[in-house]
Amino acid sequence: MTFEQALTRLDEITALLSNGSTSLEQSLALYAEGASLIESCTQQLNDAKTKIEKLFPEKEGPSDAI
Amino acid sequence: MRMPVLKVSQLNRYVKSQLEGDPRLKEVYVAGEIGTLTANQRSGHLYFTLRDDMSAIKAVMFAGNAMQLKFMPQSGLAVVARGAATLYERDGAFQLMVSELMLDGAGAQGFAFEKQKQLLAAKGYFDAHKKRAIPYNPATVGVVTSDSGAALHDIISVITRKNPTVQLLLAPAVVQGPEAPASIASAIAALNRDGRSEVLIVGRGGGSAEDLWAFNAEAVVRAVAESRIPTISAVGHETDIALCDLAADLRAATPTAAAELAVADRAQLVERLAQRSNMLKNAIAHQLVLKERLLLEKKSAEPLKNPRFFINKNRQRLNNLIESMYNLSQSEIANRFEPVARRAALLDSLSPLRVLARGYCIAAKDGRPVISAEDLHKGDIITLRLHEGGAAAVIQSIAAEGEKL
Repeated sequence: MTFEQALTRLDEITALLSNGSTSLEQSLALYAEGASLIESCTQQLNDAKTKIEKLFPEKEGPSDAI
Repeated sequence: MRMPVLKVSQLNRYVKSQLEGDPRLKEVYVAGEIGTLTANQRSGHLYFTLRDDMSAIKAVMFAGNAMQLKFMPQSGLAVVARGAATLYERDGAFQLMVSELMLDGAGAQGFAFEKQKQLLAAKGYFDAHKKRAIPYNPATVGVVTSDSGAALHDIISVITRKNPTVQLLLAPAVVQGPEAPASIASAIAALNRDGRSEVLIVGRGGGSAEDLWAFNAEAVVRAVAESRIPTISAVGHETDIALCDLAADLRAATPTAAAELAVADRAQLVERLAQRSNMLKNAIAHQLVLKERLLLEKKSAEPLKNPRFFINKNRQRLNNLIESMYNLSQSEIANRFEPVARRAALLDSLSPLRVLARGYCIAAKDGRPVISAEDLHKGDIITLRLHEGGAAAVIQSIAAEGEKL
């Protein structure tokens, strides 16, 4: 899941929790899901190191990481 | 037979209409050198001659168009004029009505550029409605440029600094010379086939107009226009415009600017995430408050708030039941006892004890009733049972049956 997809899902979760129609069990499960999304996004931001990969359009072969 | 004789004005009008009726003369590009030139100070119109080594033509550029000029036209300058060939009726003067004037060199390039632009515009490559939005925070950015150029270095350093979460996919291309258009187009196609990139940067650093020419080529323009992935074009410096820019979804002035436009700032992402995190915490806290309130409401409902109420209520009911059962049993018992009581009364009426009430008494000796005087002796102690109470008596005298005492 990309960062943006994770934020979109977080918005959904927050909306569900805010309208109050979920059961307590559902609410807690949603919260747990949200917390783990935040955790993985934070990790994504903190551990970030630009990855550069080269494609070779001429050859249809495998690409090389540099 | 005599030919009809025309007036001068008739001839001029006819020639003018002939010229203006020819679509090929409506818009022509004419290269030449500016000869004599006068600017009408009052109206702002420009009058000049345009000539080459063999011929000359009068030219006029009206103020509205002359105001758009980016250079000062002067005698001796090599230019390309765009305009319509027509006739100035009053003087019978054949002239060029100029709408646009470009310096030659750049002028010749500009001419070719304009032609190419029209050609490609007609094919719909620049249509505004085909432009797509550049995603705000792409996870993967594809780059088409020379892998030895400064542009690549600039792009990598901007993206590494601004948002290191982004993955870069490089598709190296030859960016100048005759192989360049096909090379750039196939790099764009390769990134589209790969499919991971959410946005593409296509471009190169600054260079001469010839160096940048590949980015006007139809192969490149088509590849950019047909890319399924939104594309940012960045060709040369600020002032350079390539047809590739017009086909792209977004034009950046330079490759550095393109990199800035392509990726979101990491600090902003951190902030957005923090915001979401707060919203989530608030939402669950709010939710828990709601649930707690609901629980309180249930708790304060009568039976839970005061459990004795129900117990008391039921106890009352039980008591009522017990009482009514008791009452019922009493009357039942009474009913059952009634015949017994009747018999008891009858029996009672027959009881010898009843006789005592009439003044008789029962004499007993040693606990046995005395039936006959013969059982008694003088001095015996007998008990007398009266209707009410009793007495002990000593026998003083005895009379036999039929005797008098």
